[in-house]
Amino acid sequence: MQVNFRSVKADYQLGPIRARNIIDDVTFSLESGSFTAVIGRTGAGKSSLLKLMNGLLLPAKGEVSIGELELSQQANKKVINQIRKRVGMVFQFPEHQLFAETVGKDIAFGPRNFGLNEQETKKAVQESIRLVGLDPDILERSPFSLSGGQQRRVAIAGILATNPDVLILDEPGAGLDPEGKQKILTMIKTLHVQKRLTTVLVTHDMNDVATYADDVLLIDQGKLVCHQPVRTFFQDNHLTSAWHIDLPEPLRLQRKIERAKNMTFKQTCLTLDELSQMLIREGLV
Amino acid sequence: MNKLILGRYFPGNSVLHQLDPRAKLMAALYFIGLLFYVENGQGYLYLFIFTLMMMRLSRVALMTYIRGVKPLIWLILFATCLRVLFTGGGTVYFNMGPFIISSFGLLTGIYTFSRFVMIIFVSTIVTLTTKPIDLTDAISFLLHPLKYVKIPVEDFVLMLTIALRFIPNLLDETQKVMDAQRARGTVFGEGNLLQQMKKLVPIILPLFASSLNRAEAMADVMEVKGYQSGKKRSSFRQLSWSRRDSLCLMGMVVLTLGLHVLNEVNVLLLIASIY
Ligand SMILES: Nc1ncnc2c1ncn2[C@@H]1O[C@H](COP(=O)(O)OP(=O)(O)OP(=O)(O)O)[C@@H](O)[C@H]1O
Ligand SMILES: [Mg+2]
Repeated sequence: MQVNFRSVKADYQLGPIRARNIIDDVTFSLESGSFTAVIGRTGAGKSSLLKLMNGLLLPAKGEVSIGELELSQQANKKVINQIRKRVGMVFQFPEHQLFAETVGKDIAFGPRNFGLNEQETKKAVQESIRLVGLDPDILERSPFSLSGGQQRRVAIAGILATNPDVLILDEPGAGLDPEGKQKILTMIKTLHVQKRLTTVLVTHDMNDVATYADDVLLIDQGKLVCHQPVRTFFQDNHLTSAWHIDLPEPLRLQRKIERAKNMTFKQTCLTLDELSQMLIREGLV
Repeated sequence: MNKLILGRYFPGNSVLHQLDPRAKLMAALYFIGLLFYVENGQGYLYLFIFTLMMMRLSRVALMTYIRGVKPLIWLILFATCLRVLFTGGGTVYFNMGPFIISSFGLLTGIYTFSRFVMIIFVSTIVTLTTKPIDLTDAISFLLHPLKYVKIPVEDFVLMLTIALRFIPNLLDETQKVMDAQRARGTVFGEGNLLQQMKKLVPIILPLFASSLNRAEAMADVMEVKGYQSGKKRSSFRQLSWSRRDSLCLMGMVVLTLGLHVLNEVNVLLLIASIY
């Protein structure tokens, strides 16, 4: 499903105070089936951008459209609910939303809310627990008795069970051990391919951007800085240094070699495989 | 959740902001006490005008105060209705079983209503113009005498400080959990009362879980940092009493005198009308 932002502005009302232009005149379009990484400093507005995609935050100006559904300041509840059904959102630390006595019931919460019947719900629960790579035995256990990584998977399963077309994730790897984090991200990538999802991932780790995403969306202080394919983005030395973007490890190594040997390679290597092959080809190893 | 005004601090530089929190707290408590001493409509009017003046002095928009009353309006109306329905006297307009609507009851209802509203306004004035931390210092000061009857005032105040400190976190967290459940298809504010109550479970349980976790972590950290209750402590923040604060308390005395006169005058009028 295509995601479009047209001159979107948004702000938060905090009691009597209004936080101005948290998202400031942002326009972009995500192709159906694309995997986009949203990056930016802390407080840039990444989470707010995600909230705009499923109507948790409504644009003060402009429109957001998901497929043929449209969100604007006047969007009615029905449209918002339809959008939420199409867009699955995994929050930062999603395990904090678990509440039911058993994992199974917790995962069934979303599908039930969206009006699936008992049988469909049961099927969705079974399928999603398998998708996140957990043993179906876990369905009968209390979510509070699981490890952090397992809880996170259960929470993600709860979103997948609603069978969304667009999956948006806010730092799904935050606070996990490196291995657990890679497992979750690999799982997401697999799902993305299998179910032909349109995926949006917020992350602070440029290695993840290079490994998993097709496109990069850089925002700063609520403004869109650029929206480019990953490779084009990391090729642009001016851009990355101007915005203090860390390079993915393989690319950093490449740049170091280039500096030491006083030369530049034509190719930009984003993965270790690419780098090693290039080095062999160039006869450097 | 963000609409809750009572208990929120509003940074500013008005006279009320500059008052010593002890003076403000004492004056507010005294004023609330005074509300129960009023005997007639003119007394209520008098105190109401005073409250409005204080609200102006705080330099916070009147709308803010009205929004502060809104979440509590049903509770107030409920209490008011009870007063109206169970107070007899004067002309009786309606009578059914134990319920009675009378002129005297209606008047009492109006008094009850204005008393509640004024209590909320005055408490809002205090919290809007006083940092929570200053407020706890003031409470600590006022409770000080209880130490002599072996009540652990300091522990109590510490508890209060921690609780106040975590209110914003709790509100933030509530917002987050609500958003997360909304994203999973919960629509708040729809359905009958029972259905709406059911929708609270997926919010309250996660909040409980995280609050307990946080409390545990906090207790551990305090333990590690060597906190012990009952130790003598000095304070980093010092409160300073100035002339302004004494004037504030004097003002309360003057206010009381005024009210006293109003109460008396009415009695005089009553006597005059009888003869
Ligand atoms: N509920 C809210 N009410 C008021 N202001 C908010 C709220 N949520 C976020 N903000 C403000 O909006 C701005 C953007 O916040 P946002 O959470 O979108 O940033 P972010 O890019 O996700 O940051 P991080 O990397 O730390 O998660 C910040 O300045 C923040 O203070
Ligand atoms: Mg964020």
